[in-house]
Amino acid sequence: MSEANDSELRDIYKRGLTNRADHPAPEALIALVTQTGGEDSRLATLDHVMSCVSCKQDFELLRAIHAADQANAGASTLKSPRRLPVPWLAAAVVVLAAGALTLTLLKPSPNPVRGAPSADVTLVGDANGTLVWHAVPDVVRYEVEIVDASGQTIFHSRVTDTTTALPANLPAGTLSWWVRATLRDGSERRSAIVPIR
Amino acid sequence: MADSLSRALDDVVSRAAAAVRQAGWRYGLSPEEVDEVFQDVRIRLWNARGSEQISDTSTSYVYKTATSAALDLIRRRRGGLPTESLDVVDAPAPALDPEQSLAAGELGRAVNAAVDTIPASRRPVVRMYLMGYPREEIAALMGWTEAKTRNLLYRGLADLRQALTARGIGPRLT
Repeated sequence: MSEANDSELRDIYKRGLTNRADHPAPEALIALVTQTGGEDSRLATLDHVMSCVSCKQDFELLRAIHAADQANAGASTLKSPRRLPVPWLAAAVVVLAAGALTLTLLKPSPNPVRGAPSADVTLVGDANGTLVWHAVPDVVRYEVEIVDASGQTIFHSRVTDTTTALPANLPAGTLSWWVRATLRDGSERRSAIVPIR
Repeated sequence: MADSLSRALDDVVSRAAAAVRQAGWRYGLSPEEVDEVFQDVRIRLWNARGSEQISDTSTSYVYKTATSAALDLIRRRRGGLPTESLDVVDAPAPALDPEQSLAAGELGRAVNAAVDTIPASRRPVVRMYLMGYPREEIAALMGWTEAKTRNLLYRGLADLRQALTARGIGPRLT
């Protein structure tokens, strides 16, 4: 199947989705997200989730919480950390980790939630109530976010164009925006976060 | 709970909620849904104030509470789910007139019926792919190698092509 046909098929598939009956237990969703339990049962759960509107939503909620937890814990994969074989090695790792954490705290770090900015995504600015940025090669979609001074997201939008209209009722105060590009190979690039006003 | 502890916990909860909103954004998780969970988290933490469990502002405890609150939200929703709905899950599909919409829905159900015929070992991979997940993410979720995922997906899409053709759908789509 070509890429264009895949995209068409995906749209058609999504249009045919319904809320199915016989939902898996919430615990099965957690097992899927955390990779616990047998593969067969996780596959069965996944099969249902990817064909059921409401379970897909539930799955994404649990997955987002798990992903944020893992990111917070500094894990790079979804798997649970393995137990260390001997106590002295565990102690050494703790000491090294504490040292690394101290070094990390002493120097500026990229935003832990949004990742480091990339020069591939450059913002043009706000023109007549429209946010504009430069196109990125091989992009599938862009996600635009506006955040307030405390970092809270107050607007987000998913588009395939390189512009998006500013929402009408933006709150007063300092606001910033940024764009994340999702590429065809599944990787992501994001712009720097710059002020709107 | 002392004021300083309350403020610190509130700060941790707010940051955790922002991180979850960000993580769920890519696949259409609404910020309102995350907020609903974290509102419950705040209530739970407030009710548990003074207990040993939250004598510090442990982020992992906040996430554990969020998971528990999300599971309860899912259980509540399960109580009142409609049996059939045509809601679109991901980004809204392009607007169609009613006739086009009906035809698209019927075609969608036919494609879903074709997917149902794929062997169980490959079917979930195809479904994930059709929902827009990249191969790497499928592999990460299932704990598979890239090669295994690619092989299952390739064979699953071949099964789908065959099933669609048998239903007279295509060849444009296959």
